[in-house]
Amino acid sequence: MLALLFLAYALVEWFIAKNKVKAPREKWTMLVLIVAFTIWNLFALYFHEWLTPNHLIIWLFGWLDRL
Amino acid sequence: MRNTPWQLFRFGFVYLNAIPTGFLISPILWNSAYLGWASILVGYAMSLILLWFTIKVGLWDPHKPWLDFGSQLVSKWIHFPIVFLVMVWAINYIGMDIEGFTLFFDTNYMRETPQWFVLLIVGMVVTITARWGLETMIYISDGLFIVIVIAIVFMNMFFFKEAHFDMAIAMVRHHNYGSTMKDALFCLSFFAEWIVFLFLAPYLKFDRRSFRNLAAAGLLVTIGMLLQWASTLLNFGPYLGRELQYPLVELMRAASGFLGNSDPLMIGLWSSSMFLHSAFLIHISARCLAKLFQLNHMDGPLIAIIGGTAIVIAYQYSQNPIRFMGDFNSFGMAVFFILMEFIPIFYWIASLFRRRGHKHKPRQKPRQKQKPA
Repeated sequence: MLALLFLAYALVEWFIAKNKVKAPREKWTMLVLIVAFTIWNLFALYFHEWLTPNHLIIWLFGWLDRL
Repeated sequence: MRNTPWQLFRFGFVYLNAIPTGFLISPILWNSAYLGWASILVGYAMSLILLWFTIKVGLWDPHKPWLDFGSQLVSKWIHFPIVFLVMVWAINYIGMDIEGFTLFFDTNYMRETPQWFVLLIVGMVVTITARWGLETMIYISDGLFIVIVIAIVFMNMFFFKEAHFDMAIAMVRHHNYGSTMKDALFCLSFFAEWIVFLFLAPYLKFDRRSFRNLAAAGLLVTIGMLLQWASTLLNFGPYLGRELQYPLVELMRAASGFLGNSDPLMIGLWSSSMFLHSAFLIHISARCLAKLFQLNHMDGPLIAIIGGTAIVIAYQYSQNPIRFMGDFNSFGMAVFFILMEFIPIFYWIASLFRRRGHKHKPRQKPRQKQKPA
């Protein structure tokens, strides 16, 4: 739900921005980014064990806590 | 944009004050207890070293943000992965900010409200603040600065009224220096986020006074932290104090008279600086993402997707708040933050081997009009 809400918001912003941009590369790159981020967010919301940045940081540096 | 000499100082203070005020006191009371003052001061002193390197990097080209000239120093192949790392750090930091704030609000004021709703509202506020642009954020910090400073002064005046000053002697008689050094590094991770100020150009340009301004901002945050730490310690003692998740809120609630009822006002002020902190981080990650994909006119959608991703990360953390708080206060996390804060040193070393691409010409004097003969 949260991801879809922000997908809608991002698409509205994209529609506004794309009228001002002439280069098609920029328009499509942005759209691909919106879709990629939304897919990642959907997985993060619906899979409880989906990786978070903190998991990664603690996996890399967590051993320092035992010092 | 209209610039004044102390604008960087005010912005730096409002940005740096947000997180330590909310989340630094309890961890310090856990480890260094009575020697917390030493940890805070040593943490600040060490942060000045990193600030010096940051200013040196910023001065390499004061008219451009580090994002743009960094590739001239270390090549595109090294600069872009670092930009990506800064982006991930910033998005994760926004997620932690939002979850930390939501956890505080949910446990103290809105217990019946579903957490996802508070996350959404906080996330929207932060995203919309970022959407207003950096210029507006700088002006907001100008206004917030004086109110926050007055609030800190008044708050501590009331807090120290009922403090047990007989405990103060323990601040010099304890010799638990091992924990103090570890806590000093923990404080350093909070105080030394200077790298974010490299994103202020061209709105606020670095000059020879920037070190003074940012060091003064850090010093003011340090003094504020010292006062808040001391008031917590002298009111609750180290054992009860460290068990409290939000000792300052408990202090306000325990106070009588005006201060006892003023916690919404103080929380409002702290929330504003938290929002500004997160909004500036959204601006940073949006700039990084724009740089990575060469998007020059897509600020709106970039801010929207970064805001959304940060809220989703905050939601993930909200599923296991105990683990989140454990990770947030862990030494491993502090070391990761310190490594991020070391990035300017790497660029400074690279700048020693690079010549500046261009020199700014001194401004020419306007020619005097010759009188007609």
